[in-house]
Amino acid sequence: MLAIEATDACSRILNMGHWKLQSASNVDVHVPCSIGNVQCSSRLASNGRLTQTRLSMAHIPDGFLSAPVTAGTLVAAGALVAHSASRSRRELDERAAPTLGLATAAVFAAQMINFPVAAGTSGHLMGGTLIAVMFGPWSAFLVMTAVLIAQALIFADGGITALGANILNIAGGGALFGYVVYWMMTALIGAGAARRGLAAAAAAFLGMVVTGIAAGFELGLSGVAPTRLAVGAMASVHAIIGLVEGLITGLLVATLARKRPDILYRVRDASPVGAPRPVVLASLGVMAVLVGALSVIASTAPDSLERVAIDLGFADAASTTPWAPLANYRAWVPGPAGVLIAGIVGIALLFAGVMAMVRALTLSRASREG
Amino acid sequence: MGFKHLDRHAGRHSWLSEHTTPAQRLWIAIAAAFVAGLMPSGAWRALAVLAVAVALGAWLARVPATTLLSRVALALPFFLLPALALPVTVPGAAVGELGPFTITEPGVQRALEIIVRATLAVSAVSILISVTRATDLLGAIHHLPLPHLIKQSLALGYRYLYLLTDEFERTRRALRSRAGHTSLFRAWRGRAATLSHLFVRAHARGTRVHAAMLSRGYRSEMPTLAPAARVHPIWTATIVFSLAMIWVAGYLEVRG
Repeated sequence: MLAIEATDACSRILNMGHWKLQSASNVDVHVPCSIGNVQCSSRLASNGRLTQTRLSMAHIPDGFLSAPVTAGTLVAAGALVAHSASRSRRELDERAAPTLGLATAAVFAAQMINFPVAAGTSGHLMGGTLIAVMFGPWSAFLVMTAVLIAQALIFADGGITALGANILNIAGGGALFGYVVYWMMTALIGAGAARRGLAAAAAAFLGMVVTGIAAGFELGLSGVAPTRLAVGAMASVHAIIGLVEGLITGLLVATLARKRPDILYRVRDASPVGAPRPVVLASLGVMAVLVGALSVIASTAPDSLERVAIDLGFADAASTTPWAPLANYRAWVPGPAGVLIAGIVGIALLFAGVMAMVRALTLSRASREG
Repeated sequence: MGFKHLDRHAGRHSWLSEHTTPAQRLWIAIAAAFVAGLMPSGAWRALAVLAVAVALGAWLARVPATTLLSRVALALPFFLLPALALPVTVPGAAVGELGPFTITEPGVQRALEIIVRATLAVSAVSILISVTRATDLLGAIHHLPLPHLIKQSLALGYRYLYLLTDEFERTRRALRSRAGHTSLFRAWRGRAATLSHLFVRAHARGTRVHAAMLSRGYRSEMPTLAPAARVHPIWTATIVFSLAMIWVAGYLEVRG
């Protein structure tokens, strides 16, 4: 009995990728489908009933990216990996090897545990922001890179030529960008256990949205699909996945911060008041300008996309995300200036919305306890 | 301990396994993925030659067609469904109508190209996985020009995967014997507590395992009892060179 359970767990770890039908101990059939680049596999039990739906993000495969995009992303990812290797070695010294090794295994294993989302639907963790909150952004970047390399070379999940792009999107968006958001949030709302959890949840959500934007942008630059359509579709779908990611990350960070705060990155160094507010607001402004500039470049792609988006049914998905104002705003103020404003307004609205939610939640809790 | 269902064909002797080491096979797969992934648009004859080369590789590696096809089929939705949206999203000359959509000629061509390129790249990597043990692949990754910390995380991560599985099973059994089904929110909180608890326990045990490994002479590379294969690199060089030539032919086909 024990042996059977252990083999089952082992095969389930390996079942993340394409090996679902290979496992002998698993009698269920996984039916794969996909929305944009996001995979969704439904599990049919042997009696034919749909028991479970899994949502997971797929990485960009080979053959989608053009040569310049491939070369550019590989060089950028290589530079970031080299930098984070030296930073991580300095921060972790002799603990680096076991800590990073365990984190790598944990990211694999965490994807195995499904969280129920609604009746019959479940999602699992990607883990970039969670690892960044625990071990710092640079170590998390390395861990996610190691996971992506193993997935590309050992599980054929994600392309080898697209490895640079996938590292930038998933490790960069989840670990680096997610950590920046987490740092800003804790500086703004404080650093109690529940607040850390909420900050991490917001960071994981925004990190996932940025992952989607970056992937859509790379696909658009490669000429696979019109840029604005690709960015819009990817951002919308990743925003939905980001909700699951944010909820799980937030719960885990809140639990860890309450039970074992010493395991979190730089908890003891953090001053109770956090960074000065002007610094946080200034970096927020820089971030907004950067995103605005990105959306200007994105919008120079060929047009008639909004009609296509409506035709394809992306319009419904898009209207549930904060990116919808972008399109409307552009209609009021024509030209690149309008897009720039739309981009900044979009990201500011998104951040303000998340902030307001986090504040409302922490305030109500504080007043209840007080 | 081992990836049994991944390594089903790994022990088999074939021309490929006798004339290349795992590290050399890894480089061949990377080269094939690059040639397939970066094949210029419109180079159909070069893509056909590459398809023949990949089929030849599967034959030389003695990978059964059913194994290869099932692995490619499992990867198929990852690129097939995004590619199928292209005929109606890429602007260009219309060739037909499909309900409210207009199918464009460049869209169809781009979708077909992407499907063929992605299939060939996935096939090449699948051949590599099928004939190489997971441990050998990890050893081969050690020869890649990657930061030391990443290679070490991968090697230790493989070891810790079993440690985590073991701890997870214990935690889950304990949880099952103490708790039944609860509400959705409680279930979430329960899973979060399980995961963080699992990580804290595994972290402590992982540190002990690493210390034990160091005290037994572990020097950041997994020791192996298997004798190091001595294979002349001429075969690998020939294969990689031929693959590069296919790419050059594709480039010339588009230009000329």
